[in-house]
Amino acid sequence: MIKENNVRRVVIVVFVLLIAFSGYLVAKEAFRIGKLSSEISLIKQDIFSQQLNLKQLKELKKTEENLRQQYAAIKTLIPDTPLEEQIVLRIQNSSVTHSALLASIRIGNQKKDGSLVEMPIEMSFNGTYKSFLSMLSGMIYGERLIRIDEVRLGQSDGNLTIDIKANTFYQIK
Amino acid sequence: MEHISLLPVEFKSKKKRNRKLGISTIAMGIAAGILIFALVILKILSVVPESELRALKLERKILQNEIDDLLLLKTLSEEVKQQKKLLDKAIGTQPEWFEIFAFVGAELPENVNITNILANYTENSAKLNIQGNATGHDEVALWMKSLNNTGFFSDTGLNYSRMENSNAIRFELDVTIIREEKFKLFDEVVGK
Repeated sequence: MIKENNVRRVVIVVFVLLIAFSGYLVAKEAFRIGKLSSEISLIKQDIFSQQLNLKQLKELKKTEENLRQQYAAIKTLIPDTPLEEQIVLRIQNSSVTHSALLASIRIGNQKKDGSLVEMPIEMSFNGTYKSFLSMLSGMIYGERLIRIDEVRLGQSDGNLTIDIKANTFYQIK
Repeated sequence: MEHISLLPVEFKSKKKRNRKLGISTIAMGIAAGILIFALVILKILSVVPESELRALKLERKILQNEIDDLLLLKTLSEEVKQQKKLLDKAIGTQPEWFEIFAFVGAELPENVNITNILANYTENSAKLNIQGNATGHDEVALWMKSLNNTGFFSDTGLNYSRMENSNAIRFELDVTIIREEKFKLFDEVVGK
């Protein structure tokens, strides 16, 4: 009789332990499911914003060629180095092409404004109004950016004298 | 008829305790069984969100890889924006010089002759100073009126108009250049 009671007591202890342990496991599992649900919600939000981002990038991809062209064009308009010789050659070639005579050219002191460096240029030509217009177009819409600040047109010995004060630029990092 | 137990009291209470112990054991067994069953159900239920989570994580990874592949484009786009700002800063608000000079040359009246032009531009103003000859004051006045009506110029002002000889007068005008639209160099150069 005593032995039987002891066995029962052991069984009860085992059951108590089992209940406590399985209760703990149930609570843990329920908590884990809750955590999974909130993680799923977060990932869904992530995926939604990633999809939006990707959509924008895919739109951008369509303009990639254009973007590259624009970048290259701007880098030619405002290069990373002064390339003074290039400016002189371009202006000289432009004057020859448009039947004007480049009388003088002077590149002044550079002025830094942030990452932009201004290079003043003073040029004098002899030619006709037509050659002046062609040169002006070449300068303004040329590959290298030239901002015209002053133009002085006059007459000397039947010729048109053209004095131009302008600025060209390069950029520094 | 009543049953009368002749068993001793200790024996009866012990029997009662044993009976309670037995019921408690069964109750605990049932409770443990229910909990184990609940655990199994929860384990089964968690399979669905687990697999959903795995699939979502994979999808996120694939999307991220696609984004990473295209991320350089975003950098390029930002760089182009920066470069355009720099370009705008460099160009400033300079007038459309070519159109202006082309217009002045093309629309000059027959009896008006320009001898000097000074055009200058600063951030705040763009002006033309024109000196020339004409056959009469009225020619100059009419030209001033037509300059004002072109849309290129405003505030056309006469500095002087004086007789040089019996056939000609000499004049000087100051003209303000209108710059309503920003100079669109970039569109011209890139063609976009």
